[in-house]
Amino acid sequence: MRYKILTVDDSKTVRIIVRKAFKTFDCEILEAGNGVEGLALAAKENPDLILLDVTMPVMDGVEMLTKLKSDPALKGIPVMMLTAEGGRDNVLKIAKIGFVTTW
Amino acid sequence: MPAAEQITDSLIRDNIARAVGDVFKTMLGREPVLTPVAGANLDQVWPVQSPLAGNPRPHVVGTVGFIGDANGLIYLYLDIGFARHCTCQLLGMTEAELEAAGDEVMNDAIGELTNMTVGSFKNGLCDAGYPCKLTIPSILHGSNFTIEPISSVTRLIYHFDCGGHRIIADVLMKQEE
Repeated sequence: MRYKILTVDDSKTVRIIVRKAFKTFDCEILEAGNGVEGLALAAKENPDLILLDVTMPVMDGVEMLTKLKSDPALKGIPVMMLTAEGGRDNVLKIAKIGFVTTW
Repeated sequence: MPAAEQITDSLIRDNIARAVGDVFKTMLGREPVLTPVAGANLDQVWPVQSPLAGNPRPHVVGTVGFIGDANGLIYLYLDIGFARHCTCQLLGMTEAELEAAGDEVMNDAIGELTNMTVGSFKNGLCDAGYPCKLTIPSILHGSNFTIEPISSVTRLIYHFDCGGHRIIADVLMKQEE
């Protein structure tokens, strides 16, 4: 089975790094540049994992995660937050919405 | 919440050393070592010469700020050869591919490395009781230039040796009014 991984980040550089990181695995990498595009792609492709940035234009990662977890069809998709906006308080705030891990 | 003036030089030094070390090791497989500048301590305190004084080679400088209970800016200096090398390694590109892609790709890559480094530094401040947020990154290119802060800023400059290449972290912290 070929896993689908959705990377949602406004930085093209980060999306390239994610693509490179999974190059040796049998994965299909899907890319979105903000939360709106990310939600649309998640609904269309039903990925096995979402790698989600926090600070993005149009719709940020916290809002996308909130919408994702309130959608019965999408809430089961595991989410890993991939962000420079870490720190204990930020992690705890986002953990309340629901994610797998943060990096 | 502790007052911002209680942010000590050692908290800044430990945070920047950890941040630079973690990012360059994780993203590039390198191990930068904090090194004293000749004739100085590990902490060079303002006023000091420009980080590029006596070094005429072209440099790329990534900048990201942080605002909140602690306010400041960090400039990360890399000579252009090392910046190109880091970009190629980070993005899995050859030198020829980078040459064809142009400066924009290098700017994005160094901006992202700076964002990760300052993000890690900022997270250390948050965990120490000084919540703050990152600003957007920007990039400077050039030779023989100086960046001079205004007098109400504390400036600390750290040099790292990274396998023969030099990384300079120029940390500017706004003093409490």
